Amino acid sequence: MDLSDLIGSVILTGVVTASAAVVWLIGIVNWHESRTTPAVHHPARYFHLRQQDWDDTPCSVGDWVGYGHTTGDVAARPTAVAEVTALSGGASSDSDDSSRIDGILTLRLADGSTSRMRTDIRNPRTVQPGTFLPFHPAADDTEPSDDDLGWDLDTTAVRDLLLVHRLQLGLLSIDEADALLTVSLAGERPKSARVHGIRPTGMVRHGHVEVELIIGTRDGWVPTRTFLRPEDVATVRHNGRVLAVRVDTASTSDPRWVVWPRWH
Amino acid sequence: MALNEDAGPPDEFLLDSRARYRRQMSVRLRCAVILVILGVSVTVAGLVLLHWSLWALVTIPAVALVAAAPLMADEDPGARPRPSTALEVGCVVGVETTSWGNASDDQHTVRILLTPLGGGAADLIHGYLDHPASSPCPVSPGMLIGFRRHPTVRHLVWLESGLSPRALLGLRTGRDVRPGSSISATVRDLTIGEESSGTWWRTTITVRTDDGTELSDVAYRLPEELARYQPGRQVQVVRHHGPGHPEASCSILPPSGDDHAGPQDESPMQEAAVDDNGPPIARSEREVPRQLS
Repeated sequence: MDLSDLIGSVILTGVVTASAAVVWLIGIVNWHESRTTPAVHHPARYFHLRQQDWDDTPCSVGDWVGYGHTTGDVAARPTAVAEVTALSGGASSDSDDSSRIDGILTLRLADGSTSRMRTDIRNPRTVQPGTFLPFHPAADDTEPSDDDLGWDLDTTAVRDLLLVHRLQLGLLSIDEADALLTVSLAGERPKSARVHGIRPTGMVRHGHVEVELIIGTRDGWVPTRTFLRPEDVATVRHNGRVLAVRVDTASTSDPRWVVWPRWH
Repeated sequence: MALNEDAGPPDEFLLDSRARYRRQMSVRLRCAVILVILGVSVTVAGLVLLHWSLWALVTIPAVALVAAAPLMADEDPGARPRPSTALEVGCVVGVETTSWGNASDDQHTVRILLTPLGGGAADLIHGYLDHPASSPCPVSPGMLIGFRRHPTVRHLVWLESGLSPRALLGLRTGRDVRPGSSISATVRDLTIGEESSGTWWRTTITVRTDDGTELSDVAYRLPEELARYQPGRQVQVVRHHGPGHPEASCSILPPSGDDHAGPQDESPMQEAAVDDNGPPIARSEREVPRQLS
C-alpha cells in the first residue's frame, strides 16, 4: 500500500467514524429518553417563549425573525412599516442550507397594497398576523421583495420607526412614547412588574385591545392602560408579569407607569 | 397570577407508548451492538488473516453507522381516540405551529391553546389540528372553537374544528340557536360592564343592521375576543325573538375560520359570509385532526 492509499483510507475512515459517532450519540440520547417517564406538555410554555421574544424587543428584523442577520449599514432609503397579514410555507428546511426555513409572508405595505414574499423565518412566533416589520418601499416600477425588509436597520433605527408608527396608530400617547424613549436612550431596561388584574376598557384600535392592568411597582400597586394584541393579553395573563417603565411626572402622589410594548 | 405549571402525571396512553418505544429501542440497541461486534471481528480477521487492504478499515464505522440508524427514530405515540366526553366551547388564546421546518406531507401541525368558557389562567388547555403548509392557519386568537376533554390528561383536548358558528353560539349561550338566516350588521359600540366572571367580562356590543335597526348583544367575553368588535366592523348576527329576550337583542355569530382579526381602521373588511354548514376551517387529509399528547 502506498502513502496516498494510506492517507486516503485514514481520511475516509475518520469521516465515516465521525458520522457514526454523531448517529450513535443521537441514538443513545433517544435510548436514554425511552427509559424515562414521559412528560406531559403544559400549554403555558408557549407563553413563556412569547415573553422571551417580548423581553428582547425592540431589535433588528434579523434578530426578530430568529437568525440575527443584520447588514449594519443603515441604507439611505426611505423606511415605513409593513404589517404581516398572513404566514404560510415553512414546511421544511432548505435543501442546500438546512438552517434556512422559507416562509411566505403576506404583508400589507404602507401604501395599502398587499405583497407576498418568500423569506427565511426561523421563529414563526414573531411574524404572526398583525406583526409590524420595518420595510423599504420599493420604487414604483419594481415588485416588492424580501430584500426590501429592513434588514439593514439596527435596533435604534427599528425602535424609532416602530415608536412613531405606534404613536401614529394611537397605540401610544406622546408622554408614554417619551417615557419609553427616555429609558431606551439611557440604556436602561424596563422593570419587570407583577400583574394583579386585567380588565378590558372597551377601546379597540388596529387589532389591539386596550386593557387596564394593576401592576406591582416600587410605587406600590398602580393601574396602567395599554393596547395589546389578543395573544399578548393571554401572554400577560399566563405569565403574570409585564415590563414597564415609570413616566417622570411632577406629581409623586400619582405615579404613572407605561407597559413596555411588544414594539414589532 | 403566575401559573402553576404542573401538567399532571402521564396517563396510560402515554405510558403504553413509552413502554412500546422502550422495547423497540432495546431491541434496536442490541441488534446494533451485535452488528458492530460482527463488523469489527470480520474486519480485523480480514486484515490480519487475509491481509486485506487498509481501505477495509472503513467497514467498521460504516457498519456502526448503519447499525445505529434505527436508533434515531423518535417516539410516535400515534393518535389518541376521540373521547366521548361532553362537547364544550373555548376561546382561542394562542396558536403555536409545532411543525415549522418539519411538516409532514406538507401539513403543518398547530397547537391551539384555549381558555374554556368561563375558565381562567389555570384552566388553559390545548389541542392539535393540521392545515396545509401552503395556506395560513385558519384559526386565530379570539375565535371560539369546540372541544372534548380527554378524560385522563388535564390539559389536552380533542378539537372539534368543524362546528358551525350557530353550533358554537349554542354552546356559548347554552341554548339552541333557532335555524334561520343570519343578518349582516355593523358594530357601533363596545362597552365593558363592571361585572366579571373571573377573566370573562360582561360586554355589550351594539350593532346596526343594514335596515338601520340597532340591536345589542350582551355576553361575558375574554379581552382576547374583543379585537374583532372594533366599531365599524361587519359581523353576522342572529336576532332574538320571543319571550325571555329583551327587545332589540341579538347574538353575534362567532367568527368563522377565514375571518382574521386584522386591523381595519381605514377600510373595514367585509367578513366572510357565514355558512350554516360550518366554518371554512382547513382539515387534514385524514378525516380528523391529528391529536397528540
